[in-house]
Amino acid sequence: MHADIHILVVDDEEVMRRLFTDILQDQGYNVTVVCNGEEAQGKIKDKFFDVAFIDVHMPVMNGIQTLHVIRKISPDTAIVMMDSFPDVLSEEAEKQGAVTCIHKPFNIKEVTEVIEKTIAGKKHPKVKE
Amino acid sequence: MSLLALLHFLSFFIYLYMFWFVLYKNPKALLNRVCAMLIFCFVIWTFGAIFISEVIYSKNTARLAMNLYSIGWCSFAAFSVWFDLVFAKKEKILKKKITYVWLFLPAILFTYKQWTGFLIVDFISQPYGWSYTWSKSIWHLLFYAYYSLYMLYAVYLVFDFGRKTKRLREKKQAKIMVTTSLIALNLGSLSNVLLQELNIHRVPALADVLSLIWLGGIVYAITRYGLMTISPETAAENILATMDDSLILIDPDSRIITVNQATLDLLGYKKQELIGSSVTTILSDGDYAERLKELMQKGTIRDYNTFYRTSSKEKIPISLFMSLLKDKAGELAGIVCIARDMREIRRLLQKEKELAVTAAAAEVERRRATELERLNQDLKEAQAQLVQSAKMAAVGQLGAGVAHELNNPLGGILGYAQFMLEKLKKPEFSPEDFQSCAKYIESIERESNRCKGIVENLLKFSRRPISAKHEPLDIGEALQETLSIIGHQLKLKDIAVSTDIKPDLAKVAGVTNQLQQVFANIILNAQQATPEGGQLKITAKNIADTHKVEIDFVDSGCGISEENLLHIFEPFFTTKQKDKGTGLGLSVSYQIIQEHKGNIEIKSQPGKGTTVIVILPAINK
Repeated sequence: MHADIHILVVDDEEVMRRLFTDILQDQGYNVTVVCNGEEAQGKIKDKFFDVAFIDVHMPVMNGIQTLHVIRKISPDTAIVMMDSFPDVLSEEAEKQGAVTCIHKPFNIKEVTEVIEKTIAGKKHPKVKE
Repeated sequence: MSLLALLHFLSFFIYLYMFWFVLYKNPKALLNRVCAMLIFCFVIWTFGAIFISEVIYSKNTARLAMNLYSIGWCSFAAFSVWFDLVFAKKEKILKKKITYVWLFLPAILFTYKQWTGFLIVDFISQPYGWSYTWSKSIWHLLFYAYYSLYMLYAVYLVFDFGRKTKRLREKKQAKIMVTTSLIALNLGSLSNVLLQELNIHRVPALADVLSLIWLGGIVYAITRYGLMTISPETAAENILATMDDSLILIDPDSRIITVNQATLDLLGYKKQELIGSSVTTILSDGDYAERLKELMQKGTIRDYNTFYRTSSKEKIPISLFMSLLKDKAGELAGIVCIARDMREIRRLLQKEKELAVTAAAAEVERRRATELERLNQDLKEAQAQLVQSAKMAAVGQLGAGVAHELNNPLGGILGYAQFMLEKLKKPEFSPEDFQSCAKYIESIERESNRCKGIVENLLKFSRRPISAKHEPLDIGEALQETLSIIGHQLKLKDIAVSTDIKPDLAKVAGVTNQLQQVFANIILNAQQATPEGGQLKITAKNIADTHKVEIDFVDSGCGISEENLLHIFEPFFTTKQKDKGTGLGLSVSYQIIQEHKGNIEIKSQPGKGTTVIVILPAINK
């Protein structure tokens, strides 16, 4: 159904990675999950992701740093930030080009809706090698 | 018995009764005693006179009787003077020994002269009994002179006293006594001296009987005006003899009437030395005259502070109470002075003061102890409050981390629950779906437990300990629990936490919650000192041979300057921004470790990192 749509999830929380995997795979999306910004960097170099969910608070590289890296490599990837409490980092992320920010604990509908909106807004996705 | 003999006989009995009566009234009073002696003269006289009142007695018997009762008529004048001296309060005269010589020497001399035949020399038989004739020698004239002068002097004393006294009762007494004694003196002299001298023997000698008028007057004064019943002297003597305080009774002219034994003991005088002298001789002058005026106006004065002057010229401080003593008729009888020896009072006051001081000191000590105890209690309370405040501040700092920590599992729970609900809405529910759902529920359970653990640890950490009872605890466990609450905080800051807890780590006695507070403080400090990320290494081990456990927190943060290290454990000392720290964390940690009989030490190299070493006594090993 949505097998051609690639989604990247960057979160250090295992439960979050599993949840995203289960929900999005169930809806037919192509899901890739990684633990941190570094791993995300590696993945994004390999293939294009339509949407990337990035946790704001992470070790190694925080959400903003990860955002910068992704935008640099793949400017067309829509970036959705996730935070677990209101933080200056979230606001900063939106200024830096994030599509939106969802707050944990979120409804799964928020996730699917944000993906659908993003896809609808992007008719011609490009793959950056 | 002849009529005359009967008359003497009756008189004898009357005198005898008077004698008893006067002594009965007040045997101790000098006045009564002297009066009794005077009466006794007439007892002898009247008794002897019986034997010359009848011719049935021989001339020799009459002579013998006369010689016997001459004691009476030779002495009555002397006793009369004595009595009136006492009555007129001639204390000064009475005090002198010579008085008694001139009083009684003539009486003895004339009695002797009678016995040796120089006064009444012969007896003449008469129809009524025996008459007598006086000798022609000089002695009988001398005798006349003696008794006349003495009697006149006695009358004069009473007359003078009655004239001078301001007391109406005494005036009346004196009047009666002067009148009756003059009548008796004149009639007696006529009967016994003049008629006999003129050799008119038809009338018997009746001076003894006639004297009933005189002595009757005295007795009348006794009964009618209470001469001897109650006197200031007797009252003072009887009632106040046993008083401990010094008592002096003085007459309105400030002469001492009597003093009690306590006064004599205090002053070292003999009673006779004091009686009759002015009270000012024993009072140390001062303002006595003024005080006396005041006394006359008020009737009583109290707390007159003055001095006694003893016989050895020593001054004794006294507090004098003075009160006017009035008789039934309301007339001033004297002044009662009661002196309290202030040396004793002062000594007692001093003692009381000392005791009071001791008691006050004890009271102060007791209050101080109570206050100290209260302050200690307050301090403990304040300390507990401080610990709690510091802890809550730490919890506040944890806020973001805890939210992050909780929101992740909650996100999982919420997500899986919603996901499953979606699945259940679908018409077809395959066995695969069923398996998936079981997996999701497991996730939900796991994440719920995680939330529960976080909340539990947070509550455990922030709860105020009900009792600070020290119990055996595992440091490793306490550290892990602490990390479970704040570990995420570190993770967010890119701080890699490594723990090295030795498996043989000894248990320590303590309050878990409190020690966790210390660990949390140290870890949070480390986190704040490492804003750019770094390492935190936590090691817990036994110190060899010391029964102690050492916990090291080694961070790679910015370190602490030497100067700040000096103040690191001071309350409210902080290098953090105002909203980031209270400055209580380490001071409270220090306090907690002290309470655990442990030690906390901080070593630091600016730019390289800080090492916090906590040492706690071990148990069981």
